[in-house]
Amino acid sequence: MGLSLTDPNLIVLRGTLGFLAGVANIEFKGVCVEYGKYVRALTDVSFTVEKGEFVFFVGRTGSGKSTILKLLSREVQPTRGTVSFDGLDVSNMPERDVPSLRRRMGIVPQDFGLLPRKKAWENIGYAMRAVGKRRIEVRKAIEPILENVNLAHRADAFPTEMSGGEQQRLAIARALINSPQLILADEPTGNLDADHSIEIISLLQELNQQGATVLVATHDLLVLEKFSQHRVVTMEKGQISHA
Amino acid sequence: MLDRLEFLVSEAFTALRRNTWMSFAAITTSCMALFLLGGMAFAYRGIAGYAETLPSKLEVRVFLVDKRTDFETKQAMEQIGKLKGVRKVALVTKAEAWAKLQREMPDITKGISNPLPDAFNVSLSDVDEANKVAASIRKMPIVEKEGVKYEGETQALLSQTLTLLRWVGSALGGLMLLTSAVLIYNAIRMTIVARRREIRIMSLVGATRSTIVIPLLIEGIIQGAIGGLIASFLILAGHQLLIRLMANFAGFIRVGSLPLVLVFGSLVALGALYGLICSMFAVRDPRGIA
Repeated sequence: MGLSLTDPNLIVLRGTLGFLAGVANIEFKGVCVEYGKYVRALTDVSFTVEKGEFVFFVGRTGSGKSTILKLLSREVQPTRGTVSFDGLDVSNMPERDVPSLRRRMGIVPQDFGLLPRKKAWENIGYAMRAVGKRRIEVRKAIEPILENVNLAHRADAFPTEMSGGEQQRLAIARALINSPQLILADEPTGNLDADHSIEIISLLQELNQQGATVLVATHDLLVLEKFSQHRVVTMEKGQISHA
Repeated sequence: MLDRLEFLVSEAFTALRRNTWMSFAAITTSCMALFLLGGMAFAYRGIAGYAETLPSKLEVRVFLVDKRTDFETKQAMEQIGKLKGVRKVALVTKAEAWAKLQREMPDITKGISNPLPDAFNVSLSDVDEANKVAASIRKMPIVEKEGVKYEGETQALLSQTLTLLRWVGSALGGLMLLTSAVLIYNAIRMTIVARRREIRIMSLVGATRSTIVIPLLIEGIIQGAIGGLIASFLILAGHQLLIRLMANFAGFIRVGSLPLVLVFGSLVALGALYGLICSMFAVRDPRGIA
């Protein structure tokens, strides 16, 4: 009997062995991303992230920090180099395996990506139904997920009735539906005021303490100052200037 | 399983509700295309059926006078059989001919006595000899005046009509199918654009390609099937109208019965298949738009 690369048992085994051996959970090796002939988003980027780390990717707009997150979620493929997550070669993974890869991550997009015509709980329920969860499972899971991000009391609110911070927490809640090992947050505080920004990063920090590896792309200096205990990777013109 | 199916189908209906006008356009055009094709097929079937009841192009019918002897009949048969281009001669008695007519046209044969004469059915081996054969037979004394009927021209006309119908039906139906293909394709693309947010979210949380694509395919199937269903009702209505219009000609021009199950079944199935094919083209890369 053959084991698939994405077989759940193999994934758990590999993750456990990697954690015990201190093997990098995420590894970028000489990664280049080019859009067309003249636009280079990343140039020869290499770094590793250990399991359970909390890493900020900082830099100006267009520095390539979002591209790093998109490489991990396979929204973008490298022109050269390899990207691996938990021992899997993400960059050369067949298209059919991408959904199962993403079910191991929680992706928080820059624009929240909420459905305005659905209530908070429906936004979560919809995403859960889309990944094949049954109605009964959805009913059971929604409340704990919303409680996890302190939004249980806003379950019946539409996104348009929520504050920016609440919307972002809802986007994070949606990212938690698959109990992810890795959370990718692209500019999670980009549209928020200082208080809400700190609240959101604190929430991500809590999830990190629960065991998830968290990668955050940001240019929010206040956040960096407040959470200075975490690793910071600085990006400049598609390259790492400080890791 | 049912739970999953319910989610996928409800997604398809949500899309249909959101793109009401585009769906309406796709349904009406595919309906017109299928109506045209179905209507033409029905007309073709009717005319082809009528053509079958006529003598073949290679057949001459010869009506005989009543006052004749069996010897004269036998002699005439032998003479005709020897004519160039004749393959076979058969005697059809008035009783046999009347029984056949009663079967085919019960309305006009009801309550009247047999007015038909005895006849020869002359089968030709060479259609080009038909006129010469007909001329020779006309001269025979046991043949009725104007009693030689050769329906080659009628057959040729019917054959041309059928060919024309086939071409016109194929051209018009094809054009309408092409138009509805573009509209169904557009409707599905519009759905993808309208639902790009949902598709992106599905994609980001790890929904499989089939989960994203199946509702869009179902949408196309529904549009095509509804188009086929409405087309079937239109054909049914057209058939009823034709029956009423032809009521005055009862007995002479018969409108064939409509095989309801076949019409509804085939048009709905054809529409659904058509919708599926169009939407398959439209969803080749749904995430590309998201």
